[in-house]
Amino acid sequence: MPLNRSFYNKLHSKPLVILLFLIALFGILILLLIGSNLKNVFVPSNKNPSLVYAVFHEQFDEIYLSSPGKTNQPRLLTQIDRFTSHSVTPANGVFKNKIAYIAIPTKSKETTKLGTLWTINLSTGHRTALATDADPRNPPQWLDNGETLLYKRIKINQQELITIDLKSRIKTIVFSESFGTPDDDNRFGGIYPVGQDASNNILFAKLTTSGTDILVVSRISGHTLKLFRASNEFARDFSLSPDKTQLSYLVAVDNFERINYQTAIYDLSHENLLTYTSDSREQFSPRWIPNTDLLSIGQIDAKKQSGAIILLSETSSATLPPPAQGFDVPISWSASGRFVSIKNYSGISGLYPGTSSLLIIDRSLETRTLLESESEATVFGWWSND
Amino acid sequence: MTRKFMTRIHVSLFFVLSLIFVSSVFGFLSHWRMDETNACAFGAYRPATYEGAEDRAIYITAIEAASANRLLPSDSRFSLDSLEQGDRYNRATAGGHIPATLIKGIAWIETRMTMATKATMWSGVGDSTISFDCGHGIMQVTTGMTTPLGANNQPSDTQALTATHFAYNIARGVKILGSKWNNAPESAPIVGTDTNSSPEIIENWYYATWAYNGFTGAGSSSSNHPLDPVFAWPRTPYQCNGSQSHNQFPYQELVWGCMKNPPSVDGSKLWSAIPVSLPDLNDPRVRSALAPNNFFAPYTNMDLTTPQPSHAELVSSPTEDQIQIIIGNPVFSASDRTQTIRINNPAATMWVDVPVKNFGTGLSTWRAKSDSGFLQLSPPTGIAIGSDYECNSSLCEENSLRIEVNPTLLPGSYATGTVTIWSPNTTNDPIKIQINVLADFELTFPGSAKKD
Repeated sequence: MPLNRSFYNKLHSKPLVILLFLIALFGILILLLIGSNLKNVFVPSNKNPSLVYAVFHEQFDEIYLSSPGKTNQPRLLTQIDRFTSHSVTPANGVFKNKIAYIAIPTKSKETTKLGTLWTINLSTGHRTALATDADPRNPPQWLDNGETLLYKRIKINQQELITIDLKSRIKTIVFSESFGTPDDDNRFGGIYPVGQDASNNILFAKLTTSGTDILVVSRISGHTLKLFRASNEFARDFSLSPDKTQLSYLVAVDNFERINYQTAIYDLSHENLLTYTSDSREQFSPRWIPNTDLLSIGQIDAKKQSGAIILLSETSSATLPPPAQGFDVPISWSASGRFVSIKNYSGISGLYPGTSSLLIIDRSLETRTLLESESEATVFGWWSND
Repeated sequence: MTRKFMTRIHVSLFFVLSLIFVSSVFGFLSHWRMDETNACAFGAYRPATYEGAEDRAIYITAIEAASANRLLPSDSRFSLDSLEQGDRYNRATAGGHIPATLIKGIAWIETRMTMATKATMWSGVGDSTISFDCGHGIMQVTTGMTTPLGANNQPSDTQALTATHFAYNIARGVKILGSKWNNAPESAPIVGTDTNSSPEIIENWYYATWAYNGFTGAGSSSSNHPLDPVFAWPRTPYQCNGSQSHNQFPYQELVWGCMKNPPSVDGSKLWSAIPVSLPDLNDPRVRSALAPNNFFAPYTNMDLTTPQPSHAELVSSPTEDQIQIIIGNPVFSASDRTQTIRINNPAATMWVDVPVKNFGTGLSTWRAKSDSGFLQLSPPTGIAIGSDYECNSSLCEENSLRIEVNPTLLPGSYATGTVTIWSPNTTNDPIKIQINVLADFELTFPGSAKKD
């Protein structure tokens, strides 16, 4: 029998249909609300990567998304509630539409020494808690192109590096070492996750009273090998080159009768160490540019009185558009190498840096766009689908 | 039919047993967590305390008095010890005071200079702030507060005063800060090798302030080492205005930031700014002192000259009248010296509330104990507000001790116990309340019931 209007009306009265429709609509709305905490979510196009960053507030962090070159304001993605006055510690980078961070729980009765490792899928808003024992001061590291996260755990005097597979959730302690004794309140030394080398081994720095060493641990055999001594005191701000064969970092060097940080580059393949000094009085935060052999370094040039970021390779040297005041420090490069998020400091040196602002520099257009200057901002990285 | 019925029984039994098992596991775990997290002086209980007005005026006056040992000078538990000065090899006690602005900065970083939890009204009564690591009150006093130190595994009077009375809490915090200073040179480094390490110079308190939060080295879980790579470099100095995260700074830099940029309440700065100097981390001498290979007791190579420009702070001098208002003259009183409680049902909970008053001035910390196991006291510690203190919340008047009878612990149908109430900060004699319990029911034991 063909379906006609009168038959339809016999089975389903109008009020019933409207009621069912409203119930379905309500259900969809509820599902949307439960399924996503994100506001104004959108998927960026390949050509316009967006910077994901957090802005600090006393009780929470706000996660924003900003597309360079667009006139619209940064978009508020979501809010992360956490322990008062303690911001999230992000992993550098966005992989498979996910960001990762460590946050101390809102009403932590245990301790501010324990953080929860989270991921947020920026497309769906889905949040996943992966571990509740992460050291909140050491940023987690993405491994295996976003398949795995590496984080540090501290149990009194025992320090551990742990990997967690995001699919299976299997955790593996890849390195463990005791620093000091349990009853020693004034402990010194520890380990700092760095990343993975070209052979997928895990790199980390180890600080002891002798200085800072770089070690590598095999994820297959568990064997640990000391690669080299990075510094007889503190080495910091480690960054692996895109092909993972070079490791850059800062070491303290006697320079102009002051101790200032300068960039060192260690060639993991050939075991060569190079320290870059040039005319820089101070250098900050060396960061490799994706898909290139260029290293960007924040610096204060003593001769030119410039605080522009310098771009270095074995054969070339260039600078980014300089700041009108103070000096710039590179934070995170987009995949294409066109955009870089930077912190501009209004002051004159690392010791007197003044106030800071978060900006994006467009290398192609040589423009600078201010994102945040009121509150402390922390960068996750660039999000694109490429 | 029978088979189906049996299957149902099996399923139900399995379900019930599973439920019991899961409940037991969760119960055990929750109990274990309680033990782990509540192992402070008062266990799971949070004693009541008085919160001053939002302008923190009463706290600031107390800090200024305590910094010069004028708050509780005759009580060795709360008085500031004589401070040492001189270089490592020529150090001797010389009296002195702690710069009051330093203590104000510490109090702000610890608790925003509050004694009670956030839910408490200004000029009101509420739960004392107790942190996960047993930090108590304004100064987040941890030392001596991690386990009950009184008789019968109860908190001591010192612990009760520290947890409930802001003046004692501040005095205790100041005393601890002084002890951190005096730890040099035996177990701490010195700042001010060129200024006779005078405690009047604020910059000389750099290491003592670091130690107040824990003299922790780089790499440890709560490192305060300024060169630890976990702290960003460069880092904009802490502004103390709520725009920066605490975990980006060593503790002493947070305190320094609040001394330089005092917080405001209703547009008024809480104290005068002092542009204190931090050690110059680019100075080869400072860098050498803070090098990894120097971080071991007694930290001889970590000694520093005074960071420049240095700042001294004159002794703040609240008047005797101001100090008298803080300490007051509390006179505590509890009525109903004898009480009789009749119980006619073994399952009933019977109690009596005994009002505890302060007919004097200031704050009276009171405590209570029972000589009988069947008398349970709640709360065992409290605070009674004097007539001269502004107190706005309803809790200011509802200050009473509940004495509850646990029928299952009664030794017989007639029992007598004594509850003693005393105040550690008044000169009153302890008050004894006799509790007579009459049980109008037959005390029975399993299997003893008569058959009809």
